[in-house]
Amino acid sequence: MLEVQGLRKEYGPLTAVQGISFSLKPGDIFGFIGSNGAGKTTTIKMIATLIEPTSGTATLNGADILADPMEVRRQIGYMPDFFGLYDDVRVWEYLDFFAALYRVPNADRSGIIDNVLELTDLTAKKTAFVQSLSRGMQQRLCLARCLVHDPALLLLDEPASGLDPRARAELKELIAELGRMGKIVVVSSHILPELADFCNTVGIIERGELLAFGPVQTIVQGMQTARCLVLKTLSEPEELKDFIQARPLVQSARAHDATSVTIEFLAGLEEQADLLDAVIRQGFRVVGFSEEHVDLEDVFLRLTTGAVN
Amino acid sequence: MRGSKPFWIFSVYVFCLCLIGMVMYVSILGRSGLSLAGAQSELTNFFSSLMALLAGAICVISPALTGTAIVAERQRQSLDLVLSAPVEPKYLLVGKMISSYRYTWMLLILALPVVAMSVVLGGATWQDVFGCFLLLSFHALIFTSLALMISTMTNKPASAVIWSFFAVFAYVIAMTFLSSTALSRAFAGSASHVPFTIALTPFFALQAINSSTQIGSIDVPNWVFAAVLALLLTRLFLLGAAVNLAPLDKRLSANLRLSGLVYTFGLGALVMYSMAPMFMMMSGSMSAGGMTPSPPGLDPDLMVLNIGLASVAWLLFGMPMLSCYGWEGSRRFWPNGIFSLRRALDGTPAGNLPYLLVLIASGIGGSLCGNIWAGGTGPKGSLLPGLLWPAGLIVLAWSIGRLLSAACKAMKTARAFHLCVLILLVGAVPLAMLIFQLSPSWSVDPESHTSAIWSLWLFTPLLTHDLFKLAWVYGVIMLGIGLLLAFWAQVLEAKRPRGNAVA
Repeated sequence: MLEVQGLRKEYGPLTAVQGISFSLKPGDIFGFIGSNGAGKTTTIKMIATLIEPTSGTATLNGADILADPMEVRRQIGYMPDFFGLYDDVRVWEYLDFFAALYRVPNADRSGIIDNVLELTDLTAKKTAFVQSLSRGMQQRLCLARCLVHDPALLLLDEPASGLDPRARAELKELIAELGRMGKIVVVSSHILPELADFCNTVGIIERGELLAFGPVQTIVQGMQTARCLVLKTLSEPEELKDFIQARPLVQSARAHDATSVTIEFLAGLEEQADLLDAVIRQGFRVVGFSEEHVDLEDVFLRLTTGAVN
Repeated sequence: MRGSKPFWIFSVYVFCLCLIGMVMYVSILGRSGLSLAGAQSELTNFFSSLMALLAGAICVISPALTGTAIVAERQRQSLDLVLSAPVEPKYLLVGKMISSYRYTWMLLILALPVVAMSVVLGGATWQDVFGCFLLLSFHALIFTSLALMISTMTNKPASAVIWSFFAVFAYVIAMTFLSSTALSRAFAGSASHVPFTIALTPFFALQAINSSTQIGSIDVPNWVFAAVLALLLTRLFLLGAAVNLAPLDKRLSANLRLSGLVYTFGLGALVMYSMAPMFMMMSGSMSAGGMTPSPPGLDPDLMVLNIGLASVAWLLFGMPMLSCYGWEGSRRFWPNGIFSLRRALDGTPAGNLPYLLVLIASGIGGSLCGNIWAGGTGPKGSLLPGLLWPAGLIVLAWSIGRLLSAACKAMKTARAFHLCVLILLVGAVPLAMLIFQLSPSWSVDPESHTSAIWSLWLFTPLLTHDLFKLAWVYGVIMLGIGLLLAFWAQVLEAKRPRGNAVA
């Protein structure tokens, strides 16, 4: 269980993180969304005990980041937005070094390294030099490094940046698998559609302030006061718009182009069916009727202003 | 290092060493008409020169190997990965130090065949060789830890190496200065009792291993002091490095500062005790020559002279760290007041001045104890100037750092400026005298133009016994200026933008 309470970080007159609070339970995959400079990395670094918070704290399974940083470190796997790889080191040596840092018993290391290499699909590269790996492989190696000590919490800062679509898809699958393994995963990213795919909780941060936090669907529904319907027609759209506008439960209607009308509708599926029926009865020639879903990107764009610290 | 790289590096090193050794040997023994005794003496000189060469190599190689140890991790961005693991900084630092130190040992071992030539030819014994190697390895340990500490303070490998060289150079100069009286004794005759300070500089390894310091009725070999000092200094530098790596750990900061106090006291006492016989001798000869009458026993003015000069090095290299502050870094460096005795050990700006004053008091206290231990007569009337002058100097140097911190946006800029100003304060007047080729005059002669210039120098009171009487005047003036500058710094700080820029 990760509990963040009023975490705040100031750099002189600049407040990077403004007292954010949230909690995550095992199995949660938390998408941390924000523009560059919003305070995502600072928050992650504070949880990773790399930066001292100005105020507030966080506890991981009872261990406080200020009072017991060593215990917190034992339970976290931190993957920054850079690789931090050593030169002239083979893949297994790199993992062995970090396993030793995390005090993994010598006898267990070989087996653990094989396991994490298998999980990250790097078994074939076990004896390769790290600098010879592709960017996607290096990214997976960094993730493998985070897993050598079986952490309870994974802090992944921009793990998908710079990866090609295939590597991104593989990484996404891997993170989802880690969530299924019961780990708490905190992922910060700019690629919102991907986060929505595998995160069950998201937080939107801007200028150090947590604007929204909760399950993806809850946040989306919270943003969505009316259903957004799109009606495609072969008739005159302006005429159709005027007809729809006059109907009950319609908040607004606007003609988009020569063929479609967008409707903000304040009711459920039954009323939607009635509306479509009325339109057809009126003689309008309808070729399409669908509900447009608000996604995480829309929520993000609506909530944030693009301002940075 | 993997592959053939180490082989080539070590081969080039051995080749260079052999080449230089042969050139030295040929130049020393190539002369004709040497008697057997003369040849023996020349061979001993050859061995001393080889050791000095190795000392020079260590002064260059140790910081070069270690200077990048931490900063390279920072640059390749792997430091955060290591620090996010449950590893205390001390283990990381000791690991880094061992890694660099073993290369230094490798270089010493590789030099063995060249040095063995001296043993074969009769210039030295194996005991000399291993003794010198041991002493050099102690110095390498100090340089390695010093470079490691600097590596934790910088952001670029090049600047880390340059600052490491600078620090090692300054250390060697300061220690050579401290051991100057011991050196004169070592070279003046064949006395085996030489103050242990001779072991503080790597260039006189041969003289250090063949001498000892008398403590009570026991002769303690000087290499023992070198070993103890090397271990203590290494611990101090590693603590400093650990504090830089783990700013959250207040225990480390307190440990470092307490160690600084204890070491300063101990070093002051030991230096004074080991030098006492020479001071007594000097006082005696001055009295006999009809010069300034000196009391029997140790001259307390000379004691303060030593403390003052030792504080120069401290001021230059420690002051920017202990007086500058900044908002952009860790909270440890945020200004939290001017003077708080309660915070003297936690490493925050409010505790720096009290700590510095306690530190200087600790040095003076140690020297007094060493003086009394050696049978000296105590400070007599020079205690007041002896306290006021260093206190004034400390307050002045500290307040300059505060002022620059208030004026500069970044702490690093303030520190760099502070170091430059301190170097100017110490070196401007002697440099001006050197440039304008004015003859140095230590006397306070109103007719002399040079004395007027010298009187501007902060260290003038330490130059002679007569001038030392004026030390309290200098101290009071420096205190006054320091307090004014600190007030100015507070005014500037109050005008800085504060609060939350976001809200």
